[in-house]
Amino acid sequence: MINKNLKNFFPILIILILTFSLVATFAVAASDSVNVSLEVTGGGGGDGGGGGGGGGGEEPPSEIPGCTDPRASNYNVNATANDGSCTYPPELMGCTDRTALNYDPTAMADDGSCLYREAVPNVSDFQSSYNLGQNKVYLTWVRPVFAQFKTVRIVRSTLGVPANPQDGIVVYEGGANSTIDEVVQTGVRYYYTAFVQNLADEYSSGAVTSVIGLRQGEEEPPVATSTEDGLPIVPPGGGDPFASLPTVTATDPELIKLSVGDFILRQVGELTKYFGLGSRVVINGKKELVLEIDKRSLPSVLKTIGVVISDPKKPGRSFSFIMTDNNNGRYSATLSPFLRNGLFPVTFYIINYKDQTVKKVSGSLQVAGVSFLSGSAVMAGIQKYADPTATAIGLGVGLTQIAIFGSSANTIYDVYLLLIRLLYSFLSWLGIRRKRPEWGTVYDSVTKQPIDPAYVTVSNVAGQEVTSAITDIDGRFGFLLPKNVYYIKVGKTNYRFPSENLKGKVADELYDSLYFGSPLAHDGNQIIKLNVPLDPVSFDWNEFAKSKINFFQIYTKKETLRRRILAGVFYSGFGVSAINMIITPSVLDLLLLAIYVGIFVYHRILVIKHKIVAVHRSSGEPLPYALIRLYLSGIDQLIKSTTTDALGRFYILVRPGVYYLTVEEKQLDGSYKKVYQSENLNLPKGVLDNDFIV
Amino acid sequence: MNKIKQFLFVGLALIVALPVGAYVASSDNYRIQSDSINFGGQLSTSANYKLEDTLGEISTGTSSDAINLQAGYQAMAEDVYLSVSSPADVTLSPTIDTTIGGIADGQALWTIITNDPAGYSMTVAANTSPALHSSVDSFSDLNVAGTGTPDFSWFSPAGYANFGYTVEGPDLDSSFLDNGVICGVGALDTLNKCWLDFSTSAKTVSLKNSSNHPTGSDTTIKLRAQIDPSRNLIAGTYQAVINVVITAL
Repeated sequence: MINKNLKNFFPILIILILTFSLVATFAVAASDSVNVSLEVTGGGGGDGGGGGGGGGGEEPPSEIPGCTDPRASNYNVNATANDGSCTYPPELMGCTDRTALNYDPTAMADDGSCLYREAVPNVSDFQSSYNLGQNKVYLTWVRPVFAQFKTVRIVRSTLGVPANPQDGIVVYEGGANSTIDEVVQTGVRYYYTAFVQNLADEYSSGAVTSVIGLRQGEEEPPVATSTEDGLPIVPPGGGDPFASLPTVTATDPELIKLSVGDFILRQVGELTKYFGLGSRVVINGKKELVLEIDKRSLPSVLKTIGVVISDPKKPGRSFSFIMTDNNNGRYSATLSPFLRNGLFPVTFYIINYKDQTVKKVSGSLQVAGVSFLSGSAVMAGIQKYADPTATAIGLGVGLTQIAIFGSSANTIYDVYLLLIRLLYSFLSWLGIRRKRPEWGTVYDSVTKQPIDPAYVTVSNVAGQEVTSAITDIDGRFGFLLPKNVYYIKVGKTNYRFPSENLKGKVADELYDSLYFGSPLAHDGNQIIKLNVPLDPVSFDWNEFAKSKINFFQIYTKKETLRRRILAGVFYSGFGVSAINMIITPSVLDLLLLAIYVGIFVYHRILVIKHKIVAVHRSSGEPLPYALIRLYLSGIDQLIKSTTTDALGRFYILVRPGVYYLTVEEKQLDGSYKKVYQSENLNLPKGVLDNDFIV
Repeated sequence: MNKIKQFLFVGLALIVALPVGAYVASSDNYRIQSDSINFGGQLSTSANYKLEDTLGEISTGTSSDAINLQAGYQAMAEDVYLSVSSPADVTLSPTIDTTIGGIADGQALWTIITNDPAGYSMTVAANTSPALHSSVDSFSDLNVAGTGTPDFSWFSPAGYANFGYTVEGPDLDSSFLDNGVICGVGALDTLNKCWLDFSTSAKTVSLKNSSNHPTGSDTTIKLRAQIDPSRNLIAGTYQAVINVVITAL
């Protein structure tokens, strides 16, 4: 009985508990609703005050449009309605895109400074072709050049466009620009996506191509996933791999209102852009282009977005790629710079998880800013062949010009020696190679001209070569040697060592301490000063003196031509390198250009330090191989001696001061006769400026 | 017999319970929590006080501008009341030409008075998502960096038509307070900062944990719509319904 009463009481207890619970949680609340309305006109002349609105019966308060932000430069204290006209001082400008790396929440207006995480760029010009004879698919592309590049992965599928690097069979992985897919058969459409992988193992969005091999009489079979609404499948045309996907009518409200204007175009240093009037947008073709779309504009379930950029100049040719979820609220893809300007049609395919196109929108990219040369076949040829060739030759010539400036290089071997010497000089300048003390001068026993370049070798008593040197522009050479007994040998084409002309002499008109190949005791400390005369094998001073007028004419012409050709080659290489740097700048181009500039500057310095003047008669006839002596004015101290060359030219570099100069003409018998003494010459830079008429 | 006992018990329980949450009469702005029928008694007055008693009751209930005293017989310990003003509908202005673009602003103000010592909360929600729409097109709800946390500055990117709101008032929810740089941090209510998108879920905009009787406090919701011309928004009348719920805690 008691139990039965308890049973009956139980539901009552529950009701009581619920009742008291209800009472305990009771709270006073009020609710209200406001209707918000806004009139949007589309005419272009809509005035806010007219009687067209009428929403809610109340007359809208009269507003004063203007900038209502006190922080703005054009803040209007009387304005009551912000009309979006506010402009801000530079300190309040910044990046206002919160997806950017440098998003500034305090920025009031965007100044185009937004920086974004560097996306992995796609390959460009990804193309496929089916070779029916070989039953192979040839795939070609141009891989992007960037420091973090790791590999290109090509993924194949017959079901639809591979949307990620794992979405199909990997047919290639590597760093090349082409591959062959041999495991194919005719009558099957293959979709290929090329993904670029960087060192951080991130992938690009993917470039796409598709191909089918059809033998004569064969037709492309219908796609397995036929259209749900019976729409015909468009056979792919113009290399558009997405055209073969079945199309279904979109029912999702987000998709219905999606337009090409929802796509965002970003480029470093440029303001974010959108497809505007006429679905056209102007972009800078010299920069990478990032295409994006906010995921909120799209259905939540989506496979990918395919993009096709057509080439209006080459019907049937296009470049296709996909946009992928960048995990930052957007689908995106990064494109390499364009090769030429123009209006490029672009089509976006929104593709669902069934590989069906659920929406297709189109627009146009107006590409500007690309150099007219960069996309041309001429420029391509220049870049591929002429550019490196011209640059290399130009550099070679430039370096050679430095080496042979004022020298007597007449053979390839001489040029080789000069370049070796240039390398040694460079190493000495860097401190890698120790500068050697001056030991002596190699010179022509007849003309007294220093010989440059000559190859000087040092051997020990056993005949083993110890070291070697190449004479400089003034015929000088030097060694660093320990104490020992040495032999010096000098080699120079068309010259004889030791000299027979001066054999037995200790000095001649210009040089002393003459050396003829005898043993040389070196104590390791003393600075040896030797002068080594060489006899010219094929030069006869008497013959030369007799026919020198004729020689001058021929030699001057040849010399002028030689210098012009060399200068032309050098400056051509310089120009190509500079153009290359402007059009396709790279670290290598910059380095090459810097070398050119270095050579150019070195030339200028060399010219200043070795400024050439000439000695000639009033008739214009030069004085070849004349002795030039420079004396310090006042104390008649001989400071420097040299000889003119075959054209009467010479240079002298001395300390700044006041000097006078004498000229001794070489006579037919080989002796010298003083024919000229100058007035005092003030040489503030230590070089002679003017020719001398004797 | 047992059933009769059970019904009597339940009836008694309801009779005991109901008066706790019920009231006897109300208008739009007031409600009478309870009343009684009395007889006899008299009115006594002095310079500062007025007292009317009835037979059988000793009432000391009285009030002045500064004091609200509740004591004595039938003094209402549970007389939590809430007064909420109801603003007019909002027309955002100026009218925007979609081919030119621009910004339209509007605002609505609610005055809330409650004697609830626990205070009150105010939430807003939109009827639809997106909130501001016409029959053929709609504004996007403002895209903020963090869900539920306002962006300090209003930012509607090019290519978009956005609709959002900010709140001004003394009792702002902490998410609408700022430190002069970002929202949700600090205690500042920088004017025209901290913009948020409307959601169909309620978002607390004001919160007070004490009575604000009798002065009350204002909460202003500022609404903003911006159109970028490249968005090509279709012309027409765009409407949103914003629901506000104020709860005495």
